[in-house]
Amino acid sequence: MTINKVNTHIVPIEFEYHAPGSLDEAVGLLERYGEEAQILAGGTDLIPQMKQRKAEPKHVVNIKRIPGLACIEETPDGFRIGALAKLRAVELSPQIKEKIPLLSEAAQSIGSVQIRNLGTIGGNICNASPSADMATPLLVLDATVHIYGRDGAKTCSIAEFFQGGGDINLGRGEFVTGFTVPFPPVGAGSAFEKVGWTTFDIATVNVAAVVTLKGGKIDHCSIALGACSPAPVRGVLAEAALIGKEPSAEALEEAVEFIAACVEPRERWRRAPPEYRRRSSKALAMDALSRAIERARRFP
Amino acid sequence: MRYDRILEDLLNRDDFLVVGRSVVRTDALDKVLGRAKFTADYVPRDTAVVKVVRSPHPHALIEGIDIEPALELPGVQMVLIAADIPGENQIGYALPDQPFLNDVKTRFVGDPVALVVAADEGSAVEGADAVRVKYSPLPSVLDTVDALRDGAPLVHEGGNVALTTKIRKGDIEKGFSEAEAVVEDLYDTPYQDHMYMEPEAAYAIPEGSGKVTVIGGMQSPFLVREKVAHILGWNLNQVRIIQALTGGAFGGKDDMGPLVCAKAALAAVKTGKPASLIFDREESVAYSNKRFPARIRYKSGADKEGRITAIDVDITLECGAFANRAPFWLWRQTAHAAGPYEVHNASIDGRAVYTNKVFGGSFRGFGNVALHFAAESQVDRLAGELGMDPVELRLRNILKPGSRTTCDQLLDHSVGIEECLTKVAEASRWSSRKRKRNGSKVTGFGVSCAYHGISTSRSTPDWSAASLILNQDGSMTYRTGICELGQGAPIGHAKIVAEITGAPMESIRIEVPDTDSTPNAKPTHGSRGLMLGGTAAADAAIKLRERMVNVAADMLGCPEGEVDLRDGKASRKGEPGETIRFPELAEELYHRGVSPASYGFYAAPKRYFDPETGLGVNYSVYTFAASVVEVEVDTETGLCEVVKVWPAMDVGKAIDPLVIEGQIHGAVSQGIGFTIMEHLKLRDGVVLTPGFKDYVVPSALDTPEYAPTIIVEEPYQHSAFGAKGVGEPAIISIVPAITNAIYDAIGVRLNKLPATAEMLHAAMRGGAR
Repeated sequence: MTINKVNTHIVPIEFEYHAPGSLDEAVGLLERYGEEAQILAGGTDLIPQMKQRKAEPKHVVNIKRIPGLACIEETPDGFRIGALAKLRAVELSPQIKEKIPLLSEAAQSIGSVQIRNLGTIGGNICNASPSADMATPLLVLDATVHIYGRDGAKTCSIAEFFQGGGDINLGRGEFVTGFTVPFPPVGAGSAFEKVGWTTFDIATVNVAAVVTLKGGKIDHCSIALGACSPAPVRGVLAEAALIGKEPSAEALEEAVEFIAACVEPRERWRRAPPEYRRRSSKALAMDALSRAIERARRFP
Repeated sequence: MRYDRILEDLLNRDDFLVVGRSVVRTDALDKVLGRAKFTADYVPRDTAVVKVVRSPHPHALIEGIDIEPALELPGVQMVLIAADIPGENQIGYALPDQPFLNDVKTRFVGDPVALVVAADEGSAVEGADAVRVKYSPLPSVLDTVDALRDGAPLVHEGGNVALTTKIRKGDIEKGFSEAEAVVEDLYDTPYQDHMYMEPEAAYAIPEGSGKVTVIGGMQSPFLVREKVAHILGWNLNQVRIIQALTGGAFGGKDDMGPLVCAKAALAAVKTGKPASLIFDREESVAYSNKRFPARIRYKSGADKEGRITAIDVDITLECGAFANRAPFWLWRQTAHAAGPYEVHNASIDGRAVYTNKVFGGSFRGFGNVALHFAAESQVDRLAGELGMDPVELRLRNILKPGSRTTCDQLLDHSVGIEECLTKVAEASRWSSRKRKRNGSKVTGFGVSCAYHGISTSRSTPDWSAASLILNQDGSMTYRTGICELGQGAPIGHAKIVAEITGAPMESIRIEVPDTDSTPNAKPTHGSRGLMLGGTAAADAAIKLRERMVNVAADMLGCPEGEVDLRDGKASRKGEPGETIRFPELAEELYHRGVSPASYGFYAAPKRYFDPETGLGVNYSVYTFAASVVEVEVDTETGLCEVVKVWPAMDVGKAIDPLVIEGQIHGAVSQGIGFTIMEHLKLRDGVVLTPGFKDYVVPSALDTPEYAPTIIVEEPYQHSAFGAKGVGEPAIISIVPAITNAIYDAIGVRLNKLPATAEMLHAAMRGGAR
């Protein structure tokens, strides 16, 4: 066996490759191999990790042969987006651009076109990275996660799905088949903001916000922050501080003060110190809220 | 002869055929379609693989090396240590301080101790892990301040100062006493990795007894030949070096080429079988040379009129474990210390200091990036103190024909910096620029000038050679030791040959540099590839042209002065009817016994300097550049975006404007990376950021908008058509222009690079204006 520890052209570990053709077949494999199995979707995270031996699964389960998992469909409840839908497809879908521009905006911020052509929305979420760029939009829109397991299909709210510290709410043999993303309230304005080291870089901080106005006052407000806590989080205190208020500069200033209380950046995260993440999450929240409000104002 | 007047004096034409026009490079299609061959493309399957066993300690004595456990592994063919080196175990560039394989002590994390040769990559890595080296760790020095302390651990015997430089000119005390404003500060610049797309690579093939061929990525095939022969204990003619197309170099491969090629060569010669050594990205970032870090204390004064009256500069260069190019680098910084301004009173001291860290080395700008960062920040600060516009203050001091440099070198011609600065200020509407605020985002504008001596440093003799053959079918074979690294210098040579001989570009084939057949052109560094190499090409072309014209004149029945060579044909001027096509002309040369081959040789004018005062003629000529940069800084996140760049450069003569633009755009990205993004982090001498994920470089989307490049042409008399080098000067002015713009935007001057979002954020909290 060729063991190759550093050359990144080759996956230097031995593993069994499986390509189930149905949901039940996939569940069977995942149940049988448990922790030893990893799901392969777009492969933009798993394959580099395997090349560097940061992930060494004994079994790789490619779910791309299972039909129907790459859909993007408009339903009365919102968009049904399959776990295997490419980030590029989410970005470019004309229906999504029109009805939930926030999703398109967030998808577009991820990596390069080449990465988005491979990477999937399911992979972005199931990696359970605190900095996943699709997580904050799904959080502010109260998306539903569709899960398949031994007992068939079930659902879970996105907020319950993230458990922090790289954990997600999936039992043995279970995997994510897709998401239902509700339409934002009528007249909503939304915005996505992100800082990274470079344009292609992963987020040091990202923020998504959705706002509606009624009679000049904020009627609905949801805001979520990524890469500032062990899991993406809603800024509930800031939301509560804004609802029912006029969107004045003072009200916004006051609200984003609560942001720092909502986030828990960790010292060991190398890309930026906690203090920087705290302060810039506030700044980005301010930008995202201001832009969302501005867009909501355009609604007649 | 006046090489800048070839067109008027020799070709007797008033229009250029290809020089000065942007042409599609003859190698473009191969590269775009992936057909171009780089080193790894030459390596056949099943070639033995070489891996380097490296020290995990920043500083340690070697007490023993046990290679047996590695040799027991299947697949491992041989393990080589210092005792196996047939020649001398020494590969230092400027000073003999760098053992090829260490057997006494190691001086940085990554210092090579042994080479494992194995049947495949996996076995080689396992073999490298299995070699047992017994180290006895020594106290280490990890920065220059520690290294200069009394009683500091010594990286090399004889002290931690590798060398010093100095310049004494005029009287600085008098100068400072005349000053209205005096500013002084400390400027720190960090390591920068080259991040070339193609990592270091070499493939060596033993050729019977007493000969080895090495194909590799490099910038100087003849330096590689010398070093490989030295390690093998062979004559130069027993070593054949072929430079494969090199996927980016930026100076890095000038130093790494010999180190990597010699390892592959030793393995091939010892095993008697071909061997390859290809670095992966992690090795390249962690263990290859970097831009030398520097700390510069800079004091300067200016009088009421804005004339700089004196500078007092103290440069501390961090070598890392070996001096490598430090003597040349430090000398460049010392010699350019005033920036492109005339300053009569100057005192400059430099020292290069060893530490137990990865060694510094060549990188585009060669010392002038750090130096200009300090000098151009100082100029802006003086302008601020005097309440003068930064462009105006620069213009009052700027070098002009007749001015003298920091080293008192008289510049009698080819000095276009005033025009560069004036034009770039005009194009950017400098005088009516406005700082804009949009929410938390503020814009700012910065300006900077730069100059860079084109030629080898320290007055070492500089010359170049080339050869040209007219084949029987009228096609031409051109050979130069100047390397194609992506920059296109050899294509520039071909354009010079095409201009002089009238051969169509597509009929000129540029051979890859091969020390068995290519004339020694000296290294592809110091932005000399086009200027020195291209003038040797011109010399070869002029000699061949004389013979072609002589034969053609006879065939056409006209005086030689009336022969016109163009489009692969010879004709009589003004009578294009009767033409002789080059195949016919070539055949006639061979038939008549007139040599169809020529050897071109060009030596730059002699230079000299006085080691006591540092004064003299240091560089053949200087390329000048000026840039204006617009940035946008987010005062909340510290994120800085370079929005727009207005570049200008005095290139002597543009052989190809498109290639110059390519150099400038690439250099701007590299400069942006150095200034605000790239950050090589080390802990206890270990590089913590060995890849593109953690050591981020600007991507295509981080590229600013470019104003049209302003090309100023003040020809240099001693180079083909008057051209000067552009590769390095392109990056130098960008760095201080960005930091000056950041200051303009937010009133914060970061004297320590990189100015990342996090650093700017912290600095703004520390004290905004």
